[in-house]
Amino acid sequence: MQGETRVNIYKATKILQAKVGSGAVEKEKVEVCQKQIDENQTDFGPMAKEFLDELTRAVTFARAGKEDLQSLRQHVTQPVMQLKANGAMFGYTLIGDLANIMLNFLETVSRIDDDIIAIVEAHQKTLAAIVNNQMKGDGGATGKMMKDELVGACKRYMEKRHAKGNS
Amino acid sequence: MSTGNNNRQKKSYSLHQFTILIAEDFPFMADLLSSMLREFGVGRIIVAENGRDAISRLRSSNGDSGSREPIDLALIDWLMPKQNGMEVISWIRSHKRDSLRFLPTILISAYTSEAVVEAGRDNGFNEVLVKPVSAEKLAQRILYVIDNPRPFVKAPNFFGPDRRRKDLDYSGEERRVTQSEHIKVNHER
Repeated sequence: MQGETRVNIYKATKILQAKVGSGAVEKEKVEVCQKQIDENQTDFGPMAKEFLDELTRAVTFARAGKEDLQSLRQHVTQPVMQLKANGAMFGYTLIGDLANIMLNFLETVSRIDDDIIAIVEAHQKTLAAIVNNQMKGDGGATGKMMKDELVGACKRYMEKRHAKGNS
Repeated sequence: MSTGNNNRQKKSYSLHQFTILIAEDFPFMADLLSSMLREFGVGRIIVAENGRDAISRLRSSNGDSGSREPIDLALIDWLMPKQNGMEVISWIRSHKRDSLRFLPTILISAYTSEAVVEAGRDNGFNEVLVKPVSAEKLAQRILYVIDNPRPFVKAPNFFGPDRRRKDLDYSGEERRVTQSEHIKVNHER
């Protein structure tokens, strides 16, 4: 049926350009805006709490057997991504680094078990500690230690799983 | 500065005639985006606090009883209560009014995975802006939408901006209808 596969193209219009003209946004304006972001004094703590609470709920539900792997992924991913994205606006880059480790780990696991839940819980507590202690930037030596701990926990889990699979 | 056409750097946009909708449930982010857009010179900024609110504001600005100052561009967060960004874009792209279904849209997402960018594209967003948002990235995306309007494609399972960013050689049967009688100039306003 040719009619079902037909594709119609609607020409692009320059309607927005006709309305606002062309050119650039002045560099100075962009710099002023970026300064607003970089120097904002808003307290990230209360905002982060909402997302940390979501993570806590996900862990509690998982422990109670109310989460399968897919829903755990979803309920962990959402607050972690929000913490990562919004944390970066407040200079909490360490949160982003830890979030990437956590999200990569959750992508690689194929079923939910107590060890996975324990790793997610450890991650939640680490994030809470970062926010509560206002540990901005990469967190220095402590930040590195936190990252190494989380990577180590994920690695140990994968090794244990492979050992079980091979036995 | 990469936030504009290099050949016309000296000239500035007249964004004071522009109306932008921000659909974002996180108040800090909504305030920040508003503040940046004001600094860029955008004349009218409308903030919706969730997806349902966004649809309501789009309907009243660009719908059948649309105002004289319709929304020109919508920045839409993905994760929102009461209808998320994907539900909002589905509503926009399936609307009968050209001023809504062809509306330029930018998805704002905290998710950085390829799957999210593809989902945004396949649901009909023009562009994707990943959080954390920088002033330069925001300006770039908006100017890109203004300077590079894309044709819209209506296929059996898709309606939205052409997902192809570049022309590649294709030797198969041509199924795209581009004869003049099928080309509709969009935007009735």
